[in-house]
Parts: sequence; structure tokens; C-alpha cells
Amino acid sequence: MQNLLPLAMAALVVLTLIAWFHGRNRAVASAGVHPSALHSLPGYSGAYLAIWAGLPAFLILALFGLFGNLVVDQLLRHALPQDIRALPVEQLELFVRNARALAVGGTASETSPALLDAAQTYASLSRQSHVGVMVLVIALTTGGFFFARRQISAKFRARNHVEAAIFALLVACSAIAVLTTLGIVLSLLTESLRFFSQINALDFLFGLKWSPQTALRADQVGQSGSFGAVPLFAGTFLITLIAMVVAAPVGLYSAIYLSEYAKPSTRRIVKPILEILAGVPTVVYGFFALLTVGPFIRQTAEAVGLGAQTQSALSAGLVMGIMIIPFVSSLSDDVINAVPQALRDGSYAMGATQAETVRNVVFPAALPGIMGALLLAVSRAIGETMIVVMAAGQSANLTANPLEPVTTVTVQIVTLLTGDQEFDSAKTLSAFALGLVLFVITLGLNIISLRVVRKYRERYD
Amino acid sequence: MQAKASSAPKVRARNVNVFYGSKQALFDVNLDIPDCSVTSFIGPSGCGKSTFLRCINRMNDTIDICRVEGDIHLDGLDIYARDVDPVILRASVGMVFQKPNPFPKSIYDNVAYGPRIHGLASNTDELDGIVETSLKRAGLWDEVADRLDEPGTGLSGGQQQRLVIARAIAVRPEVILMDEPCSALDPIATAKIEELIDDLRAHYCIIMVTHSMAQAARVSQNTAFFHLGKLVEAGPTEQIFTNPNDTRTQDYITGRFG
Ligand SMILES: Nc1ncnc2c1ncn2[C@@H]1O[C@H](COP(=O)(O)OP(=O)(O)OP(=O)(O)O)[C@@H](O)[C@H]1O
Ligand SMILES: [Mg+2]
Repeated sequence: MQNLLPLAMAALVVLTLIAWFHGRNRAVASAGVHPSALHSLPGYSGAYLAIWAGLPAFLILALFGLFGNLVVDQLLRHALPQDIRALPVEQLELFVRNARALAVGGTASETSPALLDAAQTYASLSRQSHVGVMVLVIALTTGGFFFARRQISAKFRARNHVEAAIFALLVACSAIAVLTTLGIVLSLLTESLRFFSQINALDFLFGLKWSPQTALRADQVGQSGSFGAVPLFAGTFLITLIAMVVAAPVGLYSAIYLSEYAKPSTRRIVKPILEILAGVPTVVYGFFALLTVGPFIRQTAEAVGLGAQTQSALSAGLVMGIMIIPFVSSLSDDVINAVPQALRDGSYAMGATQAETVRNVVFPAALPGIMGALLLAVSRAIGETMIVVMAAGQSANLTANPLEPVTTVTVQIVTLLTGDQEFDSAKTLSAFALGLVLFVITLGLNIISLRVVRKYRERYD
Repeated sequence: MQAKASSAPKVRARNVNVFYGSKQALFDVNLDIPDCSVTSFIGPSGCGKSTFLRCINRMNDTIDICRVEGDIHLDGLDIYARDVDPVILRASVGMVFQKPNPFPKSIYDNVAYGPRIHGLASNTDELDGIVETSLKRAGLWDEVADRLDEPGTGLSGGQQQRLVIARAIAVRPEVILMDEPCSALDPIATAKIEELIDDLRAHYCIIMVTHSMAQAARVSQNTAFFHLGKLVEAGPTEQIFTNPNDTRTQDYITGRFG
């Protein structure tokens, strides 16, 4: 029974293809000796017939594939004897799961006569539902096929109908994207609201102490839990600042070199290499920071008499800066290349040197776009997690000293949610609040940078 | 080839050959261009007018694959000599392009661009003076005097082209090259530019590429006709248009080809 679904899908595909050919042939035949009498190209009639024959059945099959088990579970629950239905929720849940496992030939965590009974019920329910769905699918396919087939004629506006179907498909796809985003934002919002019902929002936003350990038992002492997020945002800010101090000049100058000075042959080699840098997994940067850059910084700092640790904001920031360089240089290279050649020619014709042209004409013209690129790089740096986990540490220090370990918002979210936690403790919920604030910040940055970039585009189009 | 100029020519080209890669674009061009007058280059598309024009301020240097052979003299000095810096040459040979290309800066900064990089003004008053005289010469002052700090890109096409001419004048060039300066403009703006060119003639050597026979006849004193990379005929405009020596010139002018 379980194997029926793929088989049905395959059959449906074949049927759809047949419907397409049939629809096309029928359209051609209906036009007789005057193919130009057709309103739409024959292919559209074929597609129309195929859509009617295949699409509804396909949707039913897909839904059943996704949610069929849930339906059968529900049916089983209603068919169970009274005493089992009276069990507590968790035990009932386990019972149903075991019954399903037995029914499909898997292993259950326990067996009992009642369970075997239930497994048999499950199997027969499952069989019935499969048969029901198959009947429905066959009915839909034949019904759709004959309904659409009757309509096909020379005058039939198949193209318009097919295009309406395509339009619906496009709308559905973009709706999926928009709805998932909305869903994520809503869940962030609701969980954050739950957090703020336990912790004062002002304490969260402006508190200077972050130590999210709350008492597990009422009689525990010393674990008060304080949720002041300032040290986290300060850490994020410090590391982002260091990263941008590295990435902005290096990325920008390499973009200027690549687009204005490099010979085409050099450019052909250097640009892909820079882009490879963008493809290195961040975890690799992470252990590079932890094993190479971190110790190097500690030794150097100790050599000049400064206390330092292997994990520091500096090492995370430096490596993150290197990671962002290709991001900055590639985006800036695009904007610099978009500056019209006519402007450069105009400047050269005035007797300006190349450096003067770059500084006085190309760079100012590209500046808004470069600002946009930098802002995008900042939001990338803020969201980066892996390097910071490995290289900057996890202690929520409120410090401006780049040699000390700090932690960031993203790192805290990871540590809050990994490990055994009660889901509705303030500690877990605080991750959502952090996520929400982070989301608002990066969203704001992205909106600003896209605005800036767009404004710049308008000027030359 | 050249009608007798009253004095020594401003620009003198001898045996100029230009190559783009292995493709030759100009063949053995010899031409004398007199000062304080307008010389127009005419000829069918692709015949090398722009290429020759760009030789005169060495803009071809900015094209990697382009190679120029032969001699071009400006006031008797070889501009392709080893010790000539093209950047300095371009300050005395200005250029105006087909499409107006003001910088995305204010009107003032556009005109002040050249004087600033060449250090022509020692203080802001002097710079203000240069900007004002240049804009006046370009016939744009009255239209923009009260909005000098607005962006130059916000002007109309004809105003932009005059702004670009003012920008070129501001560095006090001796020669002004214009590559189809009116082809992107409507008849009224074109008339204004032509009037302007006629005024500027008193002080500058102006060399202009044009596709309009009527324009060449209206504003230029001398005309050179190019065809397939060769200079076919050059002389006083009146003679070229009324009594050309070469049948190809005759055919082109009467619209039989090109
Ligand atoms: N950058 C370049 N690279 C390669 N070939 C070029 C380049 N510029 C011009 N050419 C070639 O040189 C020849 C002369 O071109 P040029 O632009 O001087 O013609 P033109 O007379 O100005 O034409 P038009 O009236 O269309 O502007 C043409 O065959 C052209 O294809
Ligand atoms: Mg040209």
C-alpha cells in the first residue's frame, strides 16, 4: 500500500502526457484544412487538456502523500477502545505511534494484545484510505479529461486559459515565499511577546548584565537570571566594526584596482580567486581564526606586554573581515563598472590622470552604490555566527578591548537553544527576543542599502 | 591637399596610420588644419573620422589595442614625441563628445573640474571668475547663473552639451575637438551650439566631426572628406561643396552613397 503513491504519480505523469498529445491532435483535427482557423496554437490545447486531466489529481495525491498519515492516525484514534482513548495524551500518542510502526512492518517499543489489535485496525484503515484516494484520483482525471476535451475546438481560447493557469502558479509560488517569511516573523513575534511577559522589555534592551541561567528548581539559589542584552549587542558591534575596518578598505581598493587598473588578463585570473574566497565555508574560517590567528594575536600581545587570550574579538573580527572582502569587492566592482565610460573619457579629455579620474569622477559617481555594498556587508557581518562561536568565545563581556573575548547575539542564540531546556523558560524564549531585535536591525540595514543602491541606478538609466 | 592657410597650420598631420589590433583604420593621412577657424570632417560611417580626431588629443592611448604611426604636430611640436605627457597635451586640446557627458556633480563643479586639477586658480574668487567666463562663452550663463549648485545632469540635452563645452573651455585649450556634438540634439539646441561654435572660432582652432552636410556648410571654413580610412579631399568648405575634385566627394555630398 505504501508503494502505491509513487506508482500512481508515475501513472499520472504518463496520463498527462497522453492528454497533452490528444488535446493537440484534437485541436489540429478540429481546424480541418485551415490551421490558421485555430485561435491558439495546438500546443495550448494540449496543455489545457493536460492541466485538467493531471493537475487536480496531482494536488490530491500530493496532499495525501504529505498528510495521509495524520488522517489515518486520527481515524485510528476514533476507532480505539474506550479505555485506551482515556489514556493521558502522551501515552495515547506513543500508543498510536507504536501501532503505526507495527502496521507498516517496523519495530515498536513494546507490544501487547491491544497494540496488535490496533495495528490491524491501522492497516485496514490505511488500505481503505488509499483505495478511497485512488478512486478519487481516477474520477478526477477522467472527469477533468472529458470536461476539457469537450471544449476543445478551433475557436476555443486555449492559450488564454493556459496562461491563466500559469499566472495562478506564479502567484502560488510567490505566495509561498511571502507566507513563509510572514510565518517566521509572526512566530518570532509571538515567542518574543511571551518572553517580554516574563522579563521587562526595557531591562532586556538596556540591561548591562547577561547571564541567562534561571533556577531549574524553586529551591535553587544563586541562579537569578539576568537578561540585559547590551553586552551582546556591544560584542556584535565591536566585531562588526573590526571586520569592516578590514573589509571596507581592502575590498574597495581591490575593486578599484580590478575595474580601473588591472589588465583584462589579470582581471580574468584575480576575480575568480577572490570569488573562491567567498565560497569557503565559514566554519573553515572559524578554525583558521581559532588555530592560527588567535594564538598569533595572543603571542604578539604578550610580547608587547598586553594580557590576551586565544579567543578574542580581534581574531574573530579580523577573520570575519577577510571573509567579507570578496563580498565588498565584488559588489563595488559591479557599481564601479556601471559608471559610464563616457564619464571617464570626459575626464581624460580634460587632461586628468587616471588617479584623478578615479578619485574625482568614478569614485563619487559610484559612491552611493558602494555605500549600499558596505551596508549589505555589515548586515552579513552581524548575522555571521560560526566564526564568532569558534574565535570570540561565549562570555558576555561588556568591553571595548578587542583583545578580550566577547560574544555576539547570534552566538548566544545558538547556545540558548542547543542543549536540554524547557521550551517555555525565559532562557529559551530570550533567544526569540534576540532574534527579533537582530532581524529588525538587519532588515533596517538592508532596506536602507537597497534604497541607496536603487537611487544610484536611477541616475544612469 | 590643403588649401593655402594664411599662416602656419595649428595642427599638421603627416603619414598617419592607425591600427586597431591588426585592423588598419586610417591610411596615410596628411592634413593641415589652420588656427582660429572651424574645420569639419565628413564621410560615411566607419571611415575613421572619430579615429583621426582622437589622434589629435591622444585619446586613442586609452584604447589598449590602438596603435598610431606617423607624425602629428601641434604648433610645430610633435605630440607623439617621447617626452610629451598626453595628460598635459589634453589640457590644451579639449574634446566634446557626441553624447553630453556632464559629471554627476553640480554645474559649478563641472566647470571647475579642469581648473581645479590643473591648478589654474589660486583662490575661490579666481575660480568663480573662470567658471563665470567659461559659462558665458558657452552661452549658458544666463540660464544657469542662479542654480550653479544644482546637478549638471539635471539640465536639458542642449544645455548639457553647452555645459560640457564650457567645461572644456575652462582649462583654456587652444584646440577644441568635437565629435558629432549636435547629433543628440533637437534643431533649436543645434542652432544654439552652431552659433556658439561660430563665436568660439575667433579664439580657438575648432575641429568638428559631423554627419550633416548642411551643418558643415554652415559653420566650417574648411572641410575634409574621409572615405574607407583614407583622406580623399580637403580644402575650403565652399570649394568642397561646389566644386570637388574627386568624384567620391561629389557622390557623397550629393547623397549618392553613405
Ligand atoms: N575601439 C575600437 N576597437 C576596434 N576597432 C575600432 C575601434 N574604434 C573604431 N574602430 C574601427 O575603426 C574604424 C573607424 O572607426 P571610427 O569610429 O573612426 O569611424 P567614424 O568615421 O567616426 O564613424 P561614425 O561616423 O559612425 O562615427 C571602423 O571600422 C571601426 O570599426
Ligand atoms: Mg565617429
